[in-house]
Amino acid sequence: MDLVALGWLALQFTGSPFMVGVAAFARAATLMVVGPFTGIVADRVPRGRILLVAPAVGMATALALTAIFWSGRGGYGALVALEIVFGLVWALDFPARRTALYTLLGAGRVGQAVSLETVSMQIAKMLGPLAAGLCLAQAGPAAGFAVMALVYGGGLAAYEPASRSARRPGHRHVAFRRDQQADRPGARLADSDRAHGAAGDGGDELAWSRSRPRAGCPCP
Amino acid sequence: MLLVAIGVAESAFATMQSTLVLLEVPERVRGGAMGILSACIGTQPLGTLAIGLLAASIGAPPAFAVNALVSLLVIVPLAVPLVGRAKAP
Repeated sequence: MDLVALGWLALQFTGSPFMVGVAAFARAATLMVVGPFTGIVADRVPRGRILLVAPAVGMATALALTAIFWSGRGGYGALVALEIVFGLVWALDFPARRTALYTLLGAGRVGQAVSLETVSMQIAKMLGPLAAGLCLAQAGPAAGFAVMALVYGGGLAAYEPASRSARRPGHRHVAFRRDQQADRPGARLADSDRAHGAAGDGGDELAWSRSRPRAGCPCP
Repeated sequence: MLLVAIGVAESAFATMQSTLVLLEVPERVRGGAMGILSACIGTQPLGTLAIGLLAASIGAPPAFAVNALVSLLVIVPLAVPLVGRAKAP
């Protein structure tokens, strides 16, 4: 949705096709620049938490754009700056989401999971521009960004219960740590404990871990 | 019909690029590998720019052919060992 809005608004503000290209490039360039670093974040920070933070930031950004354009203060600079934030959100979300698929489903089913996710992305790519065009034509850019905020809110609402249930006592799986130990024998367990806060809030990291429950865990 | 075939191939590629990376790298660097993949996806506008410049200088059909040839030259040497490994018992 935002790519359609970005192109259309950039053209409205500047009248220059070149500046439309610059705006689109600014968002894609964010991926190029920060992608490797956000991948490291996905390895170091609990992935469940990233999958909550990313849509929350996306929703806040869309709400900020809604407010800016609703108040009539929208401009090219603000638009591009906040589109860069959308690029950052995607760069943060993508590695965490794909690695979470692997840790949730394992090597045997990750191909199907990625395939399904790709299908959902393609459907979004078809419906998103249509929704953006309708919003821009009927109600203006603020309405379009408000719909985007709702979509991000839906993503947040979908992830949140999984993260919350993982924090319940008795739902602490240890597979992720075992995997790490297997990959790098030695201090890996201590690193993992330190990185993910073993006492208290490590549950959401474990929420995306694969399946081998600790002895005595009531989970299936 | 050719565009449909290209779309199907592109969808398959979109699925495989992530799956292969996820399966090949160890857990401790899996996020980093996916981050590098997202950075590579972010280079898409550079490719669009390159094919646009090429099409402007030599015409769209030759530019399309050059693009396809370069893709084959890059992908085939990488894909052959993977296929061989998949066939191995």
